Amino acid sequence: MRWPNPLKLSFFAMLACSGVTLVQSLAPIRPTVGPWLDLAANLFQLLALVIFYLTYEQVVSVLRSVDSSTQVEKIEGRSYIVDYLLPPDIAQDVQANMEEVMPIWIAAHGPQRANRIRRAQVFRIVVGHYATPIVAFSERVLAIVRGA
Amino acid sequence: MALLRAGSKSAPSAVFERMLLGQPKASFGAVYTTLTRLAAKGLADETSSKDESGRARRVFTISGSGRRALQQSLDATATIGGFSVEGGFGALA
Repeated sequence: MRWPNPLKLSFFAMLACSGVTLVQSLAPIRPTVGPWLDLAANLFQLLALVIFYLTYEQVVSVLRSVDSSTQVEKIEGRSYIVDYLLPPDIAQDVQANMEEVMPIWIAAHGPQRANRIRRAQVFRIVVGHYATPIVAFSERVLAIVRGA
Repeated sequence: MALLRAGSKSAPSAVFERMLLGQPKASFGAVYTTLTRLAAKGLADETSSKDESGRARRVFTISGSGRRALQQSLDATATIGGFSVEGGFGALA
């Protein structure tokens, strides 16, 4: 069973209260200006609620259409850290490799541990990517020093 | 060795799968970084290819100098007696 939207429920509650107030204001009709002012105020309140409701419906329909158009398929093994921290070509390759390797980890360790392994490996790849030039430079320096 | 066994133009995931056959605790991050370093050293050739989804993939093939380095390493291991020890490694202690 799908429960109604709580915001809608609260709106209808407010609408009902407003209706009650309206009836109450209609009851003591006196030949004075006071009750007519009350009646007008309640009518305005009712009108405001109707406008609020229509606006709410419009906003919700717009948000739903935006949400359905921007829904991204969840792909097992994808990591946003890779996209943020690595160059685009390497990030694309790492993502594709992770998607291929992830089923092996899930089969061997289960989904939760596979996720932990994936995070650790992503960290290792990112660190490795930035450490590789440093290591290569150190090796060159060492080769020069030893050669001398 | 895993790169050689995985065949030419192998993706890092294929090399990793090959490694798992003999080394179940192999780390994918280490394999990926090592392949990158091998390519930087000229021991593996790195090329780009498209997969089924049209994504650009880095694929690696062992180069001539890579094969030579592997052969030298295997020869060196064989020269000092290889990995087989009579009576097991415990006999060395």
